[in-house]
Amino acid sequence: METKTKKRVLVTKSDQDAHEVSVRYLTQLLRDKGMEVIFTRYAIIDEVVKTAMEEDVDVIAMSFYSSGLMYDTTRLMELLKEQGLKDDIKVIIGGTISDQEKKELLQMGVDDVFMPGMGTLLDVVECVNC
Amino acid sequence: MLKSEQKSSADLVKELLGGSVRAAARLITLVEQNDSKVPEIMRQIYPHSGNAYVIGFTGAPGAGKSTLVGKLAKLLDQKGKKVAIIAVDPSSPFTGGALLGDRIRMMEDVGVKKNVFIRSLGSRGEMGGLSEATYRVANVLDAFGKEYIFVETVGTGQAEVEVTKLADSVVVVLSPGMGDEIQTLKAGTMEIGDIVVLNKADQNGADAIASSLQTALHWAVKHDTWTPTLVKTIALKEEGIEELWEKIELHKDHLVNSGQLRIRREKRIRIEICKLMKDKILRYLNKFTGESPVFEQGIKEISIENKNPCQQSEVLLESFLSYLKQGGQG
Repeated sequence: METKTKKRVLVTKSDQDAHEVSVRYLTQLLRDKGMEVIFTRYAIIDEVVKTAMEEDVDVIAMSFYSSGLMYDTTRLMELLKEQGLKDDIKVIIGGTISDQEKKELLQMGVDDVFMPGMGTLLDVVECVNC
Repeated sequence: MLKSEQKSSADLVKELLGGSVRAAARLITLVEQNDSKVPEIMRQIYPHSGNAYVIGFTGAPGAGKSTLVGKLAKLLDQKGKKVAIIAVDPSSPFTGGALLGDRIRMMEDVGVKKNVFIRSLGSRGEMGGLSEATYRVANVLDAFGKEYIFVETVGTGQAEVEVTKLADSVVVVLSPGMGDEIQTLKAGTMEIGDIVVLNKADQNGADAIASSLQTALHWAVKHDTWTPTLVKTIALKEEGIEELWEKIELHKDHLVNSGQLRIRREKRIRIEICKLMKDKILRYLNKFTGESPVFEQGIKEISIENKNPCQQSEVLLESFLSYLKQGGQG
């Protein structure tokens, strides 16, 4: 039987960050849109790259409500480039992010950044889906 | 999905055999999609498979399957074995999407272990606890060099017989608090488990359940000379994992020594071939009933000429067979 191509999304956050409500809802919304969502919490950012590779994901969506945003994202982008994955995976970051941080993230190669007041989870889903 | 380097299947398979995790993951995606390259991919992969030992894990949700699988994989990794885990979760029958949430339970134990490969699959409409592609995915991981492949099913409990056709050893995972002893007996464990695990064995009622399970297993109808064994575990505390592994190895030795392993695998191949043939025929049949003017005419004749549907279906079957022979024309 032919199976349609499904979008695979890795939704992840640091296991040190207690803010999980928004990613849980995001996961639900993505599933409701017909996507396959792998949800993990990472101890070190390297796990995220291994996961993304093994699961052959199309999108990585990360959430930061406490510390680690710049360090983790820098390391993520480095590893993705090293492993030759950057061109095939869309990287979206959301959470408590400042304008300055957003600028730096986009310069690093992050595809989209979502900050407080920038819209709702539905906008994030739109972004993942396009 | 478009990947920046559109490699040929031959290249991907070559990289797979060379140990590329990325190639393995890409090939899994292709065989899962049932892409048109799949028969060619499987043809190239097949000669390199047949070495991995497949262990299925089934049982109701919440029993601790994922945690247990992670702990067992960690143990095997420590022993220097190469392990792959295929974790299946249910896809929504309405949207087709899925939350693949087994992996998260395993990350702490094997998240960064180089020799442990974890892939999450959505069941994509299949009701037997596995995804239709699981067999092909297991073949890819087999060719990749994995010695042990753990397949974790969706976990509804009673509908999950598909795993018995795919796995060499089947482990059924139960836990206390899933209803009374009658409920536990109902769960189909007696029919499909080579090894039954009572996880969360530190919880209330565990000993009573263990005792009645032990009795039930003793009386269970044996499919061959192996008596299903009970193992008590507390996966979160890593207790009972070594014992579980010992029992699995015992079962494996039993299958090898009794010749059962070869028989089971032949059965698996037979089932897979039947499925492939059925799929192909069904595809042609859908095309025939959807597009063929001969079919349309046949349907019209039933109402216009008052032809009998039963007879007409025989006539149309003949037409379909010619259609098949001509490769889907007419």
